[in-house]
Amino acid sequence: MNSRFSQRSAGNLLKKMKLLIAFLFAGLLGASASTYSQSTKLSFSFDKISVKEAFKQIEKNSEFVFFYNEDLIDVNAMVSLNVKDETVESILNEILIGTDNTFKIYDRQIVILPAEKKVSPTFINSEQPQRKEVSGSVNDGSGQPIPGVSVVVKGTTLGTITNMDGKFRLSVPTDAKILVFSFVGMKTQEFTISGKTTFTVTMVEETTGIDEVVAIGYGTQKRKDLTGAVGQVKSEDLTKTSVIGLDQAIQGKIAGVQVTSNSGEPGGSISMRIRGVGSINSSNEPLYIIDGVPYGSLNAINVNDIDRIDVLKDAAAASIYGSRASNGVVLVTTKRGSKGLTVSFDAYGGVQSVAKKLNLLNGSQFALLAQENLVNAKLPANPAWSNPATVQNNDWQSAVFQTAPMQSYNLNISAGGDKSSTMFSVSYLDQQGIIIASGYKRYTVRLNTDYTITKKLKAGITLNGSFDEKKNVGSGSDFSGVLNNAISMQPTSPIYTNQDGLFNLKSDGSVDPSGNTYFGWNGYSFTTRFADINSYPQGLNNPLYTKKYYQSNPSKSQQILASFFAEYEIIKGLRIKSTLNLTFGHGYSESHQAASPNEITQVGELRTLAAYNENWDQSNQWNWVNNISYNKTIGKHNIAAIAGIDAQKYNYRNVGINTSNAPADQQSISASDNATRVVSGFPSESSLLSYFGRISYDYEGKYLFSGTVRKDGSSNFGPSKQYGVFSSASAGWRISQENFMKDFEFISDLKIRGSYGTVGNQNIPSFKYLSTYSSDAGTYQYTLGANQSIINAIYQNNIGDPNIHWEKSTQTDIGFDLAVMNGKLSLSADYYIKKLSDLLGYFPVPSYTGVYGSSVLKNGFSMENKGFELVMGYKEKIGQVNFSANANFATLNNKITKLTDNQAAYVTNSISINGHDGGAITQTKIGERIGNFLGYLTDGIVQTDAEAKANPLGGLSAGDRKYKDINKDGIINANDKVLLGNGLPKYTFGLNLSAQYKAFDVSVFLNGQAGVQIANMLRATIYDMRFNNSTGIINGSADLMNRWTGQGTSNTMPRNAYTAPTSNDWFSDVYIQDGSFVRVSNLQIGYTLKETLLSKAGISRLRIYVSGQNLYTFTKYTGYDPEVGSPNQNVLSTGADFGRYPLARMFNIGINLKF
Amino acid sequence: MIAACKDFLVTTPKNGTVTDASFFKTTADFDAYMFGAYADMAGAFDGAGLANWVKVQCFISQEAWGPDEIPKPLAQYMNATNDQITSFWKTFFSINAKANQVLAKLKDATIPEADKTRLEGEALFFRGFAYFNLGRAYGKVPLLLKPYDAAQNYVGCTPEDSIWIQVIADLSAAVTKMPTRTKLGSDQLGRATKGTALAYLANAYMYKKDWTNAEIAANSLIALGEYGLMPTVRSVFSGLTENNKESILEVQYRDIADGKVNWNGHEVGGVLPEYTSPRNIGAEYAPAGGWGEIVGTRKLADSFEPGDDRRKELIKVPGDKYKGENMKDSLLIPLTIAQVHSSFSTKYWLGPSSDLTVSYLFKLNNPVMRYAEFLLNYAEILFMKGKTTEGYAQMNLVRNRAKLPSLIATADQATFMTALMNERRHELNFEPNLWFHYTRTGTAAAFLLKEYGITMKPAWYKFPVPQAERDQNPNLCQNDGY
Repeated sequence: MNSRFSQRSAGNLLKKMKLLIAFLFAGLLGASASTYSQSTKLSFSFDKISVKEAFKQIEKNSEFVFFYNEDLIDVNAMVSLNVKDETVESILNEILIGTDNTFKIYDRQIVILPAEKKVSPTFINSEQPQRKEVSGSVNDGSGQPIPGVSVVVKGTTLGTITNMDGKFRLSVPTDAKILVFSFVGMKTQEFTISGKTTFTVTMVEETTGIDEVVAIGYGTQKRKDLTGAVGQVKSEDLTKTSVIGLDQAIQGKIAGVQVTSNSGEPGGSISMRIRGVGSINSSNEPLYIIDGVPYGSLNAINVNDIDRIDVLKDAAAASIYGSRASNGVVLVTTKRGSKGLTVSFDAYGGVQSVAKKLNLLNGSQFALLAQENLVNAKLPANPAWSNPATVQNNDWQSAVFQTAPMQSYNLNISAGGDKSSTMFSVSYLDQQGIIIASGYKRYTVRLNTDYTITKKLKAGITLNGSFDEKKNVGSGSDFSGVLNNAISMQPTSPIYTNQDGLFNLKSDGSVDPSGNTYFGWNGYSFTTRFADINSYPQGLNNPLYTKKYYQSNPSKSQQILASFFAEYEIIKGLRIKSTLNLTFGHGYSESHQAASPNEITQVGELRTLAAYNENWDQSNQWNWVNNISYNKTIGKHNIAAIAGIDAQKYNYRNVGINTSNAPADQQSISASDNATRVVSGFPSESSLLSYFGRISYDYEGKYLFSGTVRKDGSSNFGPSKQYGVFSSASAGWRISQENFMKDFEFISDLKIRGSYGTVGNQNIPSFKYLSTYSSDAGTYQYTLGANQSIINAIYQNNIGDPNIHWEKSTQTDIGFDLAVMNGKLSLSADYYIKKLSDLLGYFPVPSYTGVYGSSVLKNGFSMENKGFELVMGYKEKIGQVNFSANANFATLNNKITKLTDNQAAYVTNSISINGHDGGAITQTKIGERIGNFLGYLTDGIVQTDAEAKANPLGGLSAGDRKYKDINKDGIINANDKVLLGNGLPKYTFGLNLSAQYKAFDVSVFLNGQAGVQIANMLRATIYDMRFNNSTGIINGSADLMNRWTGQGTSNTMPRNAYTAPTSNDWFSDVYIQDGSFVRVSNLQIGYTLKETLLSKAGISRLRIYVSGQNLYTFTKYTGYDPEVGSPNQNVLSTGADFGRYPLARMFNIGINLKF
Repeated sequence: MIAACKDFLVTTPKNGTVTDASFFKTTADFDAYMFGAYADMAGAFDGAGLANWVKVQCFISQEAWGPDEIPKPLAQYMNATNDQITSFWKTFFSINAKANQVLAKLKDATIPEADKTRLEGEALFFRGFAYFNLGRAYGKVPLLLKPYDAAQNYVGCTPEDSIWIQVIADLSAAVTKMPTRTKLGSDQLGRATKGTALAYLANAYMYKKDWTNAEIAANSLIALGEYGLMPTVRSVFSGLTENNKESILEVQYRDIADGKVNWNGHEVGGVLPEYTSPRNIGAEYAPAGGWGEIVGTRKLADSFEPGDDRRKELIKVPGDKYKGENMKDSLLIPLTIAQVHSSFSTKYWLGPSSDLTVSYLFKLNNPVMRYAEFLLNYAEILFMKGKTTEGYAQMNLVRNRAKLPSLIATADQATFMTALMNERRHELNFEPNLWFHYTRTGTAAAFLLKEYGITMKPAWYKFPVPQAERDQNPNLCQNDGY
């Protein structure tokens, strides 16, 4: 029954599809005629209807729209008509015969005008006594006059429309204040009359929905004409909330774009993955183009300056950037000045705190379990822990986390006249970190200026400068540093001491049996080296001390970007443009290491001397782009073409000075030479020379075609492989423009599009094609001669493959854009297949070849990303409430298709945090997703001694963890490891809801991911109380309270004993957790004050708001944050959580002020 | 403009990276590259090189084991995934690759002709040396005579006969180009010389049973007049007498390099002192304490003839007293530190002689080929040529030095070979070549059965080809029985 039903409905659907296809085909054939008005043949037969009704009939049966002023045109006259297959022109001639009216056809717009002689001075309501005359002209920006523009005195019905030459003349009452200019598809503009009598008005196209402009690389395009896959974020979405960086600006907003912060620390770097990972051994980051300038220093960009961000996702959109576009392209366009003067000031301030802490043992729980851990191992008990009820309880997480203030100020001045316009901004951001002593400060200044020198010559300048300073506490994405120390510290250890020096130690240095094993230094408490090594962790620092004295590592950078362009229009539509971009970056970082007390070997002796490191770097880049573009409309054929040359050179120098064994703490490089000093430097340079061209053609805006080609030469490759050619083709069909779509009135726009093309990735380390030789002293040396002199052997450390070339990405994309109910609801969907080939990989070669490391870097790995992306928008006005919702959803399916010639090949990557996790790895294998976690499957806990003896693992006792013998060979070894999960989310989504009621606005933004696993590597540390780096007991997870304590007590947590085998901690399904989450990323409530209240103060707009960020995360993950990303930017470690700096929860209050 | 564009895309690194464009230009460049082969021999911390060769020898012959694997069945040891056997393969191919690179680059080099000849000789020696070891260990192996290129990936094996032809060709050519030890400057002491090549050439001919050419090569070495036996067995292995007249090829070690210990790279010091001393023995014996990685059997210690100086001076068993030349005190080796059934070679122990706080490695040079081994080979060659008396005379030189009486010459080959193999066992234990004398002479099975009661599979006469290599190369052969 069920199956019959579905067959029937499938049959129906098929019929409908056939019909639709026939329909579409018919439309396509009808497209061959030259212009719409010529090609459209209409048939009518009506008797005695009004002219108005006749116009309506024509509108209904064609795409024509009529414009007229009822005050000037008598549309109530009755006409009869009987025509067959006539053009609209001849039909109108018949309708208007005998009247004084004429008409003009503008594509699909028909303007009915009073006869020429009647046009000039048009007086309406001539009985009004006090009048004056205003006149003027209206053009479309390119100088073309627009007829039919309605010109009305605001608040009255008094008005006219422009004539064939775009001119108007109107007699208005002397007290008339404002003229309103309106025309369909154009922005309505108001002008104050106040004494003026002539007006030159430039109508600007309304950029809503399908008409909005999209940056496409070396140019822009209207969204309706777009044939590639481009995602966009606009400034309105950015300024509403307190967005700090580009990551937050994009995160969750564009389907198929996954943004993760590599660390939650202020000023931390971000990772962006556009349509999945694109490379295994090279960069996965997209190309960032800021105002046409390739620029990687994202922190230098003030988000308030951004007008829009366009993300080029498919090959058609991105291929204009050729060899750099494989990971997608992010185009950032900053605001530029406009006419008039606008000053805006935005500020916010607030507090941040950690959103979640790990659930660790408290003091008494710790003392109980720590003692038990020793006793179970038959080690001497620690008297200090004998009474858990009386021990100290210090929460070390709270000791390192803080409630951190932040503030941001932004001033923006936009000014412009006829010949020039300027946008100036200055900003300041100060964000302290939620881990003490970390923080970020930034100052930016921007000046964007545009000149119209002559009608044909335009020029512009862009200047951006930024200073920033970041304080890092050594707890980025790595598994060391302050935070991980704090997790491990014993809660019974005092954090501070009120006295310096050793105390409660016996004179011979042995531990006082009272259990006090600390000494004070600079106010902080440390465990002595003499403390019982089984009870106290050896070599674990007081994290507060570490942070304050040991690792206060400020790094500062200054970035300057200067860009100049000049554009000249040779003949109409033909322009040449030259752009010169210069960027300059300077960085400075230092790290101090105070003489350390932690390695006391004898009473009172500080073993480690002070160290001080300084690193300076400088980079500069020039980029010169010359292009020629041509835009032409011949009848209904629209052509846009561009061709150009792009050259770029990058230089980098750095000097690092490391001093160690300094006698005293240093604040800078000292002149004295009583320290060991090592100087290093790693200069690099690279260049890129490119030729590009793009041609777009459309017929009537209905059939769209675009083709792009780019030839890139890169210095990263060998002389024979420097150049590569990348191309793409795309097509679109705006079905909604077809006649037969007239019946589907609710569809306001429908376009289907498809693209295919190839782009590359040249972002690999330079000179990998060269064989290089290492003379590093100490790595390969030999002794020779009677004097036993040490000689350095030089050896080959890289086998260059002269054929190394671009990584290649070939992408097919099909999609559609749909807007219904006048754009109230919009829907856009894409399906893509991204085939990545020639990926660089280390190809193992037999070691008999004598190749260093037995592998050679070559092109040859392949993988595939497939996905579906959906974007939905909905706008509705219910009463006085304006409501909008935007949602996006993306799927991603990644599969490795080739790793070496050997089909069984795989690549492993260590995600091991310590010796206890049994060498945790990810495995990348053909047919599987990249970077799968590979480990054992647990099989519960051994309950009895007999069971322990029988276990194939060997050496187990009751209470130890069991693993499944997957291959049933009676041995538990690496062959029993299975794929446990993957850190790349299969699904990502975002939802933005906003509503406005009178002066109030509220918006909420949610984002999330699903179909993803996290390897919670911290469990290797917090599930075992034995300090994994050395000896001693450390704090652990509260889950340890559920440990096995006897037969039947637990089948999940093993026994708690110092000497328990490390196999209990092997990397297994115990570490794997569901990484799905939905996060309430942002909630904001704003109130805009009434204009009338403000006008006296000269303020045109004042909005105050409160916002909260990272408010709540719905997740099952128990670590700090399920948004893990790829630690150390290593794609093969994606989803491994080593205890990263957690994302802060923020509450801000802010104002947006406009003058 | 086009020319300018060409220059625009830089093609050489300007950060001082050494590339083909800047390397292999001077004699010093070639020397520096050649030293890599020596560093490979030295091995040390990367678990390769000499210490591993010694280990493999000792373990296969069952004369020694690591502390965790006594006794490990030979059947388990002789498998294609054995790390030590894999490392043995890698090291010699690495040496071969360096030799091939030097030979290839020398063709276009514009360095003085004399240097070119010398380097060519040295590179040919190392290629011969590498294949000598690979041939006797694995039999058929890939024969690579050019530096790596992509097409080289899947080279199959060349029959063992052809390997020996290549070894003899390379070593013969090396002999004509290498300087004699006397001509070598004192600052170059430790490099392979004409004598080194001749010693290996003579040994190579023995594999072909070409006794005539073997004798010619051996005679040529003796004619050089550069070699002789040291007066006592202890003085062969002495920090005070490095590169002595008995040394034909000796890995050069020293204690520290610029005060830095490099745990990851090739160190300048050796690890055999730690390997061969009892686990946890104090730094008085081995700089970093004993690791007990190569512990001899009691059987080996008990197999010496009474009065053999080599047992007295170079082998210790628990309970023995020991005093080396650099030792602070006489020490009694305690019973508890290792198994009662153990013995320890003290060839490499000479106690502390440098600051222990800066080095964990030992400075004593270790022999790869020495004159005593050569004399025993020479004895075999002469005997096989029918020169019975002369053959016994060479063997007796070695015996006499160990304070053992001369053996009376007899024409019976079995008697001679038994005596000779016994002599080799007591002279060459814990050194890198002993096992191969058993396999070459076909006496391995009898030895294992007699001494350790092990029935040897015929396959064990050759090592298995490492499985990791075969995984990378489907064309790579495997020896029968693995």
